[in-house]
Order: sequence, then C-alpha cells, then structure tokens
Amino acid sequence: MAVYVTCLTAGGGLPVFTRSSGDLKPLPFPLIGSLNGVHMFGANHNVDLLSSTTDDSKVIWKVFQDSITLIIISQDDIADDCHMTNLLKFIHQSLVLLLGKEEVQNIDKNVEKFKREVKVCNSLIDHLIQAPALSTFSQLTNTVEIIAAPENNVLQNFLDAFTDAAETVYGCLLVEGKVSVATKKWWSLTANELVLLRMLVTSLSDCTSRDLPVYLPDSHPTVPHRLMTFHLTKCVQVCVICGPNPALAELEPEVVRFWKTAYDPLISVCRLHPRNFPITITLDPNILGFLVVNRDTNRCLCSTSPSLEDRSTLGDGLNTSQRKEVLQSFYKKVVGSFFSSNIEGSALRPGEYSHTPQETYITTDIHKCYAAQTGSYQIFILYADSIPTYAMR
Amino acid sequence: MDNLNQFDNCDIVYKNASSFWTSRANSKGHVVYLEVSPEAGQLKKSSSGQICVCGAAHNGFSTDDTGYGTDTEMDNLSRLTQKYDDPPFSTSTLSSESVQHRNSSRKSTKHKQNLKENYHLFRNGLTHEPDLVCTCSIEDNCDALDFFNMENIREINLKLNLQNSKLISVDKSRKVGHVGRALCKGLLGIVPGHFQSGAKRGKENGMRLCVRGFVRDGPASKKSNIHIGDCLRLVNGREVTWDNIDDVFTSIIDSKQVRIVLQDVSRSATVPVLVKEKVSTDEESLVRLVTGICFDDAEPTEPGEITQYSIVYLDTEKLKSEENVCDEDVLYRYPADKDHDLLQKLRGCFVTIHQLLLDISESTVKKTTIQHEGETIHVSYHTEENGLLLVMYPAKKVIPAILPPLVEDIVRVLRVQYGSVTEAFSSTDHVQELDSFFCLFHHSLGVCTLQSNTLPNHSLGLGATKCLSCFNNVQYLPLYTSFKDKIEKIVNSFEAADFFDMSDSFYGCRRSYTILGSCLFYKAKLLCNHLPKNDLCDLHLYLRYHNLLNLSSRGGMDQLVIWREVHPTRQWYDLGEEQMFGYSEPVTARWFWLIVGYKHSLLCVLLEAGGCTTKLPAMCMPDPFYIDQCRATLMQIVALGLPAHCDTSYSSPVQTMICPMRNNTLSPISPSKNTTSDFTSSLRRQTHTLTRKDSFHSDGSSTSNSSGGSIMKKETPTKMRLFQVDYSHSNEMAQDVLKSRKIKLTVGAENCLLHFLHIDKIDGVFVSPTLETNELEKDIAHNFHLCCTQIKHMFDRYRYRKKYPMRDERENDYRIPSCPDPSFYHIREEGVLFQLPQSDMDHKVPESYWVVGRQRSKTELYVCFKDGIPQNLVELAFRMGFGLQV
Repeated sequence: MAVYVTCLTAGGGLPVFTRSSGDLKPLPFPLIGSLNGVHMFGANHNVDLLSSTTDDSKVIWKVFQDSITLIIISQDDIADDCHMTNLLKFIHQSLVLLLGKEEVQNIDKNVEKFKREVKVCNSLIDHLIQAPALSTFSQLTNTVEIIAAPENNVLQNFLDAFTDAAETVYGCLLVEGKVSVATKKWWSLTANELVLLRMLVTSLSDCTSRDLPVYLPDSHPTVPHRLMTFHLTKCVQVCVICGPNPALAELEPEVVRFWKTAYDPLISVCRLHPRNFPITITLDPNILGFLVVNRDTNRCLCSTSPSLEDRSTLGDGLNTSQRKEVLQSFYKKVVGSFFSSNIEGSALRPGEYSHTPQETYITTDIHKCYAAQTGSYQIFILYADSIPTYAMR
Repeated sequence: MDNLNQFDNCDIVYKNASSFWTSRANSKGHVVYLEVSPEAGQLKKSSSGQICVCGAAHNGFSTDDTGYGTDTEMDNLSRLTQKYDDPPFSTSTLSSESVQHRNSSRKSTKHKQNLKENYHLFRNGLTHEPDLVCTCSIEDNCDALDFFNMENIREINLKLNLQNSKLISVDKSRKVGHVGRALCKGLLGIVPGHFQSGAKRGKENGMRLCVRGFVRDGPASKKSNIHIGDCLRLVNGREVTWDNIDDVFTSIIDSKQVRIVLQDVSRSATVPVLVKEKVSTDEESLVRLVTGICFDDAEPTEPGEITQYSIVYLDTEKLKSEENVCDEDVLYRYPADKDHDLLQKLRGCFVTIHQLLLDISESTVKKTTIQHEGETIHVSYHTEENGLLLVMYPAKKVIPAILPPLVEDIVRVLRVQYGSVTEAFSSTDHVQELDSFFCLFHHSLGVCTLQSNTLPNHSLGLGATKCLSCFNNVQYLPLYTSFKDKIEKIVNSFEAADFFDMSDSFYGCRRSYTILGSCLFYKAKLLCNHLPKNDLCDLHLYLRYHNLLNLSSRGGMDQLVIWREVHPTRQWYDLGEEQMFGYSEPVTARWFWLIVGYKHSLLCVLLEAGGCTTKLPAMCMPDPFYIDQCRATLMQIVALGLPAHCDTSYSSPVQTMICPMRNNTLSPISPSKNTTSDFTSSLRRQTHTLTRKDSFHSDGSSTSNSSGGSIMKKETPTKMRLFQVDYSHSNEMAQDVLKSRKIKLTVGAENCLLHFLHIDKIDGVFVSPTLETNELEKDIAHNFHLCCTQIKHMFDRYRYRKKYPMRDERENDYRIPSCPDPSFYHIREEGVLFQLPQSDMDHKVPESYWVVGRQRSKTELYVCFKDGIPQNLVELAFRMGFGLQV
C-alpha cells in the first residue's frame, strides 16, 4: 500500500516530517503546502476538512492537540474513512509516546528542535504505515494480538515473579510480537497504549536488552516512564514499564535467574507461531485464516495458517501473506460499514441501519469470507472457495 | 353515430390546436404544459410563465376556425351549468364528414370520451388571466394597514349565481379549501388564486385570496371594478383567507347578495399575507414545484442555519484571473441566497483540492467530506472544460457512496437538455429553468419538506428513496402478454406515423418529424419501451428529476404536454467517431422529446428532425399535430383499461421492473413481500420456459412451509392452465398467497422471501415495495436498499477495476499508483444478516433476515429473505432471477 504521511505545525504550516511507504518519490513541498493550505482555509471558514476521495486515492486531514496537522495520502481502500483516521491517531499517539504530550503541544516554540527529536519516531511510524502483508492486525483493530498457548498459565507465574523483582506492576511477554501473557495492570492500559507499546517493541531492532523513555499517551502523557525489554530466546521478549528504579544493569542479571527455568514452555509457545492457537484444537480444513476480536478486553487472535499441513505449499489458493491481506481488507470493509468497533467513528454508518447487522459474508472465485458478531466478540473467517456458502456459518 | 360525432369533435381539436401549442412555447420552442386535477390545486402553468387558458378561444372549439362550431358553442354555453355534473357527451351533432377517422383513433371510443371530458375540465377553468398578474410583488407588512382608508380598497355588492349553488355539493370530506374554491367560482364567478412572493411561495394557509380569473357570465365578470389580481379581503364583512374559505363561502350559500371588499394590490404593492405557515399539502406543493411556480424556497432554511445543499458552477479560468473582484467566476448558484452559501465561500478550497489531487492521483477527485458545526457534509465535483460543478449535500441526507453517481445524473440531464454542462450554465437564459430543475432534483431525492412532512420517520424513508435513485434504472411493470401486445400494437401504429388523411404525406408534403421510438409509463413504471437503452435512460432521468414520475404516480395531473429539443446522450459519446456500415443517423439531425401525460400515464416519444424529414427552421415550434396524435394514442391506451390492468398487477405483489442505466443496464426486482411463489406466478406470465422451474418451486415451498398444502392446491390449477393464461386466476392466487404470507411474516413462520432486486446489465427489473404497511416492513425495506447500495458499490468497484491504466512515466511522478487491492477480485456474492430487535417479553429466538447480493457475469440479483429458510429455496430464487428475461 502506497502511503504518504505528512506532519505540519497547525499554527504556521511548517513541515515537520513526511514519511512514505511503498515505492514512492518524495512529495514536493508546494504540494504539501497546498494540501495544508486548503485545510487552513477551511478552518478559517469554520469548516473542518476531513477527507477527499478520487477513484483510487484518498486524502485525509486531521489536527491533533491544535498543534500539529497530519495529512495522509493513500490508495483508496474502499472502506470507511475511520480506518485511515485511526491510523493518523496512532501516528499522533506514537509522537506522544516517544516525545511526550507537552513536547507535541509546544511544537511552535522550537520547530527545528522538534524536527530533530521527531526522528526517533520514524521507525515506529514506518512500522505503522508499512505494507499490509507485513503489518499486524493490532493497529487495524485497535486491539492487541495475542498468542493462545496452553503454556500461558505457567508463564504467567514467571512473569508475575519477574515484574515483582523489577519493582513494577506493568509487565508482558511478547512472542513474535504477540502478547503471550501480561500482568493485570498491563491489561488495564488503554487499547492505544497496548497496541503502541507492542508496535514500538517490534519496530525496534533486535537487541538483548534496552531501556527506553516512554510517555503513556492516555494514562501518563506528561510523565516519562522507562520501558525495558529483554530478549529471552530467539523470538521472545519480556517488557516491563517502571519508574526511575531499578536500573537496567540491576535487572539484567535477574532475567537469567527468573526465566531460565521457563525455557521449555517458552520454546513450545514459540512453536505455536504462526498458528497462534493450540495444536489440540483442530479446525475445518476449509478455514484458511481467522481473526477473533474481543472488544472488551482489547485482545484479538489471528491465525492465517490454522491447518497443520500447510496448504499454501500445495499450490492451491492463497499463501499466508495473501490470506492476511484478504482478512485485513475484509475487516476494513466490514467494520465501519456493517459492524462497529473500538475505532473512533466506526459506528457512524452501521448506525444508519435500523436493525443491527449480525453476520456478513463475501464470496469470490478464489475465497470466501465470513464475519459475525455477538456481544463484544467479532469473528472474521477466511475460507477456501471449496466450501459451500451455506456451510460457512 | 354518437361515437362518430365525438371522433370528429376531437379531430377538430387536433386541427385547430396549432395556435394553442405554439402560443405556449417559450423562446426556444419548448413547451412544458401541465394541468392538474382540481384536487391538486388548480394550478395551470406553462413554461412561458403564463397560465394556460383552455377556454373556447384557444381550444379550437370556437367557430371561426372550424366551421363546425354551432354545437360546440352551445356546449360552451351550457358548460357552466354542467360543471359539477357529469357532462353529457352527445352535444355535438356532426354530419357525415366524420366518416373518416384517423387510424389511431379507430379502435376505441372510450378514449375520446376521456379526451372530451378532459376538454371539459379545461374549459371549466375558463378565462384565467396570465399568472403574471398574480405575481405582483408582495411584502409582509399588510397587517399593519388600515385598508379601509386606502384608495385601492373597493366595496362591491354582488348578486349570487344561485343556480350554481345548488349544484355544488357541500362535501366536508373534501380537502380544505376545495369547497370554498368551488363556491367562490360558482357563486361569485371569481376564480380564487394564491398570491405568491419570493419568501412565501408554497404556503397556502393564512394566505389571502387573489382574483385569478372570472367565470364567464358569472356575477363578477359583469362588474367593471373587479380586476384580476385583486385581493379578495372581506365577504359580508368576514376576513377571507385560504384557511377559512370553506366556512365563509358555505355561510353565504343561501344569501342572494353579498358584499365583498377588494384590495388592489398591484398598485399598493403590499402583502396580503396573514400568517406564515408551512406548505399545506404535499400534492399542492409538488404541483407548484413541477409547474415552476415556486422553485427556490421549498425548504425554508432556519435562520442562521447554513444552506443544507447547494450547487455552484465555477469558471476556473475566471477564478484564476487577477481582476476577479466580485465573484465573477461563479456562473451559477443554487440556491441563490448569497449570504448563507458555504459552498461558495469555500469554492477556492475545492478548486485547489481538485487541482492538487490531479497531481497526486490517477483520477480526478470525486468527493470531499467536510465538517461544519458538527454536521458532516459531502461535496462532489464534476469538471468540464474550464467549468467546475460543485454539489454539496449533508451526509445525513445523501449516502456518501451515491453522491458522485448523483452528480453524474445531474450532468447527464443537463447534457440532454442543453447539449453540454458548459452550455447549460453559461447562458443566463437558463437560470430560471436550472433553478427549477435543481429544486425538483432536490425533491426527487426526497430531501425536502415534501417527503419529510409525510414520513414521520424521516431518515428511514429517505434511505430507500436515495438508494433507489442511485440504481438509475427504469422501473418496469410486467403485464400479461396479451394486454401488453395490445399496448405495443397501439404504440407501434402510432410510431409508424401513418395517420391517413391526417398525415402530412396525405397532402404530399414531407413529414416534419420521424418518430424514433416511444415508451409508456404508468404510475412511474415502464410498461413498454421502443427506445434504445440510452435514450430511455435520458428520458427516465429527465422524468424522474423533474418529478414527473412522482407526479404521475400520484395521478395528480389532468394533462401534461412537454415538447423540447434534446441532445441525446449517445450523441455525446460518439460524436461521429466512426462511420458505421449501413444506416447511420443523419449528422444534421435534431431530436425532440414529446411527452404527454394523463392521470397516471405518460407517453414519451423521441422525434427526429433532419434526414428524411423536412428541414426545420432554427427555432422549432412544437408541432400540434404530433402532440395531438400522441395524446390520442395515450387516450386510446388508457381506454383499454390500462389503469385497471396495471393496478391489479401492481397491487398483487408482483413485479415492477427497472431498465437500463448509463453504459450498462441494471434492473432490479424487489416486490415488497415477494414470496417465491408470487414471483413464480409473475414469471410464468412472462416466459413459458420457466414453467418447469415453477412446478419444481411449488414443490419446494410446500415442503418447507407448514401451510404448503393449501398453496399447492391453489397453484396446481394454474399450472395446468398455464398455456391458456388465466390471468384473473393467477392474480387472485398471487394475492391469496400474499395474504397468507403476510400473516406468516408477522408470526414468524418460515419461508419468507422479503425482497427482490434484480440488476441486469442488458436490461432489468425492479419491483418497488409499495405495500409498506407497517414500520417493520419499512425498516426492512430501508435496510435492504441501503445494504444493496453498499453491496452494489463493492461489485462496481471491483468490476471496473479490472483494467489497468498505463502510467505515463514522468519525472517527479509522485502520484499514488493505482494498483487496487486484489482481495476481492471476482467477487460473486455478498450477504449481510440483520437481526430484528427483540420485542419485549418475547421468548422466541430473535428474528433475523439476510440481504444477499449475487452477480453473474452481467447480472446482479439481490434477495432479502428470512434467516433459516432452506438453502435450496434461496438458490431457487437466485436461479429464477437469473433466468428472468424482460
């Protein structure tokens, strides 16, 4: 997906940064200036310019904290604007996460300084706007992806013990970027924070341990915390958020002490990836992938290779990244037009219906998609085309 | 013999109507003439701004033209007394000259009676004066006037025309104002009218009465000091307004003489308006709109509220130029209210966005969303040469997805009417016409007060209308074959233009127009079509956005004649690019539409001039001969019993069908509660090939339906009689089935197909849910249409995406590449399940229903059915839909 994201100061229209994904040439400044200009023109007339759509592209404007204007130019995704707006929100939040709310608020005081500082956010922003096949469902669904492993109960004890040692209540264990277990307090963070922290960790380059100042955008946007991550095995990281103590050097030896005995469960959890749910549960072979979203607990579970023998190697249908793309497109299409979700503004168009849509499906020559919602749960399933349509339910 | 005489009476009319129509043409030779039935407000208006007077002098009944006049004159004289009786038809006693008739009028005599009746109605209106008199400028402050002190007040004693008072039945059940109006005419001889002024058009209540005209030989016409345009203020000392007109005039019904007070408002220029109130009735305001009497303020904007919708046409060249001081770039603006026009203020913004996105994207901008004072508003664009057309609608009124198609529709109608969008907006002559068009357009979307007044659940009703309009199809009503054949025959013989002695060729001169084709609408549904797809689309869009379809479905018009030059869409697209082998249309040809309407029916004809016909002068006047032929044809069709036939197939939940759209035809069917068996029964009438499926189907329904046995019984005889085509029976059956199903739906039994919508690329079908009886069904219909719109949007997006435009590689090409999301290529089917809210204390499983759309090559079909019905039934419904041929 080709995307440009441009950030300007809302007051003066000075460009702060422009990021792009896909194989795109940089946007010329006059164009950025004009795009910002029309928005400011509208604002002078008491009109908030929201979006513009052509047959194949979409431009969305949004102002945050009255200090920065974010403009996103992307391909039209044939979905509701709320998904793009959600992406812009994440980009803004990631600035807050790494720079603090006050810094973003007072951008006009020293734009040059801010421009230098904002570079730390680049990797996170790039991560947010990268191609759909590489990205995860977290930022799309506004929930954090989990891995449902039978070993999670065991690991919970290890994590709790480790967070105690780190003198904090916030701790979580990431397996391939998916949350395996986390402390209760960690789950009490808002969905934005959960998603962003996860994204932040995965966006950074691998290292055995790191200590990073973060601002929690919703709960503590002005107070810096320290995010510490430790590499346990190849794909497992443990994260804790703590105050000034303890120092990274103090905690590093503790890691080995606490987690060494947990090595076996950790390895078996790792093996679950990319299936993401226990091997003991067998699903219909027609299911190519699924996504379950729990809107209350801000968790989602996704799998694009649910069957044990990988069908994609057999050459029929879609490979895993294609499945992921289809599921993402399907999610975007359904949420915002039929279902509503945690995403801001997604309830608008479903609200036009006088009855609540409960289920929906799409069939194509290649695959079939099905979605249903009950209570706070939403499920999106991708089937092979061989399944009869009526059997999808 | 009697009948023959009546023929002739008509013939006279045809021969002598010439001056009538030409006098009504506007500067371009276009005629829009609408006469409505008295119930609809007695407004008669032509495009040239005059009330069409249909009295003797114009109608060809006068003696000097015909030489046949003696009896018609008598007729004229006797008319007054006949006014409220059924007019006897045997007044003319014409001689043997009437032996030869036109071919087209040979088959039936009834239509001539209708025609004649119609003329009676015409003449009842009698000497109306041009409306201009009534439109004297009027302001608000009249109540402050002590009008007795003013010189323009006159007090007059009138003797009442008592013989009329007996004839007028005081029927309180009629609409407010109707009795009073009739009495005013009958007793005083004054035709009451409405005053109008810019701000208060369309508001009847509290309005003063205006002297619109006089009844011939009525008491008022004998007084020299009563003028047309005067305001009738007091009758026997009582204030008269349109509110109390009934009371005032019924109270004087027994008196012999009344004292009336008149005010000459044309001199004083004050306003005789008492109270500002809302539009009295839908019907009336609609008529006003269509006739163009009031077009710019149908929707009163709240003070301080920004205009809800607006349309602006800009000249981008002028916008760029430096010396653009006072909005010179704005060539057209609707509504014309300058202060509140958000769109105009922001036009610079939209022009810039339009330019910018050309740089960024492969395609031009379609839609911009803005938010103003908490309200989301969509703006859509159309650009042509240097012009930029901007259309703004609030999101709550128009679904975002259909705004761009709507703009395309506007553009298409404008092109058909004026040749091009630039042409339409650049000439100042068109401003009034455009104003009225946009107002009507607006109404046809159901955005204005018109609809919202009637529908308590405002937003719901709108949805369906909006969605339907975006399908851009012609609604088609399938009829029984034999009846359809009859209609086709009549239309064909009309199209053959072989009018015997009445035709031009009879006199050895070339005909002036070739009839290219025609189509017939009844209650806004297409009955038969002899036009190419594109022409039909043009016509349909014109009719729909001018609310004529709407009006015809209400049956509020007595007489409609439209004559205008058009620029068919096909001309726009293939401007002589390739010479087709064989026949090609004459290059210099000009095209004209002739639309005549009577009650619920509309007959539309496309005429071609040029080619084999005589050369036309630059300014073509409407040809009265064709108009009359066309009217006669329509009357003939009506006389066949069209209304009865149509209404039965209409009220049986059978289909109405829709036909083509732009480049590809769509056609949806959606009978409101079309059960599968209803559907079959209607299909059966159309194609015998479907019979096997039909029998199969009835088996299917019986297996899954608890009351299947009884339905089987009903169906079986029909099946056996299939080839004898027993219409009445099948109709009854359909209705029976409907009834049984209806009950079933409410108690929640199985097997309910709720809706049907069939979209066909070649041509298609649509049955509108006219049987909306309760809230639930309305909701379902609303959701169904809304959902279909979205599904169709998906289908369309992925269908048109299959072409990959070649990118021209340029330096600094920073445009977003258009490589669409491949996820849903080859999309086949999409469905949504809706759940009904659980009624209180209901222990049953909550009810739910599916809306499913499926496309197969060039056909789309949408079905709404209850959740839980067997899959084979659903499949059957789809299969039958795809097998349906129009």
